[in-house]
Amino acid sequence: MNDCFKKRRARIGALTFGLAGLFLLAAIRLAMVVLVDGPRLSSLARSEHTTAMELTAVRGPIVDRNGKPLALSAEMRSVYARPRRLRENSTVAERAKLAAALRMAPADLEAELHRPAPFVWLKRHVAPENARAVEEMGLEGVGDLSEYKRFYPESNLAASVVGLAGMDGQGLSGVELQYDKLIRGEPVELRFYHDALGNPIFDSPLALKNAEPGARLELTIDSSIQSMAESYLAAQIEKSGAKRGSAVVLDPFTGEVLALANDYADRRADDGRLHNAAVQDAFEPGSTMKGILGAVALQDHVIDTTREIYCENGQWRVGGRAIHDDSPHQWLNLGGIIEVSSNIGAAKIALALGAQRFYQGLAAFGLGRKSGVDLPGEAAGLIRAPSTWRQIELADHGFGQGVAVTPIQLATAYAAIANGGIVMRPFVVRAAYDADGREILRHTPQALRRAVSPDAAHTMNQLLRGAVDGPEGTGRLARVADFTVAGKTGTAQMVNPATGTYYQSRLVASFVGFVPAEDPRMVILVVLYEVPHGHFGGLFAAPVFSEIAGDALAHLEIVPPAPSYETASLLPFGVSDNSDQHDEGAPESRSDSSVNTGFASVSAASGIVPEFRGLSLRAALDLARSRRIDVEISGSGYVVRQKPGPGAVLARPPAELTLMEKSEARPLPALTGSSSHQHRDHLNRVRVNRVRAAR
Amino acid sequence: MSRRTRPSRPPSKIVPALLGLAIVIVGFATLMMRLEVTQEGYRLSVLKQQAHTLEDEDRRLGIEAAELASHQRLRTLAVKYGLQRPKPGQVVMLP
Repeated sequence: MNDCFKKRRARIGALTFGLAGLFLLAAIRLAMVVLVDGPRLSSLARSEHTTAMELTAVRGPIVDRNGKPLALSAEMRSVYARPRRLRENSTVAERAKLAAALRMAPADLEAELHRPAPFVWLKRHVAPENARAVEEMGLEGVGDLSEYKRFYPESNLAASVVGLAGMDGQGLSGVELQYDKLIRGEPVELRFYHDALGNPIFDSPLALKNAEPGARLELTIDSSIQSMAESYLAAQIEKSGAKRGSAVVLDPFTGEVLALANDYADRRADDGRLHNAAVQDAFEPGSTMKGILGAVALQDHVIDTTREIYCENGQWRVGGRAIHDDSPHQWLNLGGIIEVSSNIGAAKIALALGAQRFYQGLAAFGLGRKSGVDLPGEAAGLIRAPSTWRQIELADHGFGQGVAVTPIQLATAYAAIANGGIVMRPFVVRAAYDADGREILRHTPQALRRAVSPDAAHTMNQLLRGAVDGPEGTGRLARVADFTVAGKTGTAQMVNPATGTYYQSRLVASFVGFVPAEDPRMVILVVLYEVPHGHFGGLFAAPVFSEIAGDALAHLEIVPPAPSYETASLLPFGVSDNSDQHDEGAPESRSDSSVNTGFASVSAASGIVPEFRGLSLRAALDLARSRRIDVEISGSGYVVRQKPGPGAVLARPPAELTLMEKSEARPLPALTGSSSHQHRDHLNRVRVNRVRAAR
Repeated sequence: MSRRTRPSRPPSKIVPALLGLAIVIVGFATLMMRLEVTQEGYRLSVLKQQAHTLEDEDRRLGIEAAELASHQRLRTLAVKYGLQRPKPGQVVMLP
């Protein structure tokens, strides 16, 4: 009995042990399945029951400052094939029909299908109707995917700024590359269950997600000014025989690039979407450097406007080499040197300035360093350390030889002269908005540094007018009707990169200036490369400046500060012959100048604002009293600005007059966070003591 | 000492029946809702596709409009119709 009981117990024990062992094995296996193989098995299960689909994001549009589209995207279909499967399941006739639907040659299609690859693109970015035609053929081994294609509706307008997006929607150059992360958008991968036929079951809100479209980029470029710049530049390249050219139009007070054009005589060499010569290529600025040199010399009090320099009758030996002027001159002041573009005068100023101070001045203007423009691949130019400059090199640098700058740098430097001495960072993207229209990026004007004092900049502004208006001015062809232009011509030899010496017959002709000189609204630089010998900046680049400036001023509806007689005769008010309103209080010279501009009669009319600018406080108040015009005075010294302008009807008195002392210099204002208009006003006030005085 | 016991009543069948009915109704409702969600999913899918097509059409038309209004095309048309740039002095800006 005992034995039997014991045996039974032993069997039960063994069975329990066995079952426990089996249970343990099952638990271990379960743990392995869950913990070790879990992710893989889950993935397998998901792939069995669910479908994944990537929704590509549409690339954001790029528009100009007025909302005109420069780059847009639209969905296209890209047709692919699995070559072996297609060959095995189709006839030659069917494949020929497929080739016709894709607008391909049958031989090309066959060549693609015989490539040793499991997957080939037959044609990318085909129109949806063509893709539908392919689908309707129902060939096995052919399929299509949705992709976005980039379109540039303005063709090559602003091509070097906008840049290029590749076949796969990635930025390759220009703004397309610089702001790729913003405008490419966020693709999204959708996973959802599918039914027995493979149709998606949209039973989850997650399955209704959309890809996040890319941001809409708003440029500072004005497509109308850009079009003018490109058109006039191309015409002049053809006319002058230049190989290529660049033009830059900047707002001097904000640094906004209004136009940036590059063009080539040989359109086959035009890689405009990939290369931006105005930002990536440096050139010797030639005599345009004299404007910068003069401003630095005035700032350092090396020279003033009255001191005269002997210009050696057109030839001067320095450091064992002769420097020549185009025409012989004897004694010239700084204005004369700028007007006739004397190399000898500029060389003597550079020598008087010294290498270190000249170099510091160039650096302050941003030459030899990147301007910070928001475009890829910017070149820094080339200005060697001053310790390596020999005497002749210092003299050469004074008239722009032996240094290299990019067009955008030179335009930015002249913008500093135009705005009162402040170097602004140039920029081409003003803002970015997400798909819901929310602003996600805003570039405000950024003052980098003060290059020269307002006084030096103002004086240089006056002197640069001589190069255009003066009887011997080299930039006479840059004149714009009814407006005062300040600017400088430049002609330099090109360097042969192979030999390091100058080409004898290849020149760079340029003109850089700003308009209206009294209240600069735009800085324009025109550079023509490889012009034949004898073609100087004043002859070929200056007219392009004039054409661009004339059209751009009209486009921006900028009114001349003092209209010509012909213009004044069209003003919408009558000429008064009331003798008791004659300007008795104004200085004689002002009356004379008014007669010359046709304003003597119109400014005598009741309620018409006369010209106050240039008058002292006392003379301005006398004039205002004689005209019974209420004025509000800001600052002291001489009137530099008036609102409304001369000739306008005073609708809402008082008139505002802003005065400044001639030697005033003000610290750099904080400019970040202000709008363009605030910014312009702010900079305009840099030179004045903004103290409101009771009249 | 015999104790009289009342004959026990047969258990009520109403409660299980109601419970069963409730389960059937809830199950049916769940099924219907599930079916409705799936149907709505399909409908949304179709609408989504339509919206996508319309958005794409809008983009395509936007491109066409931009191309038609491009500076280059307008300049070509201006030449074709004999228009010229105004000569210096022909445009007068009045204050």
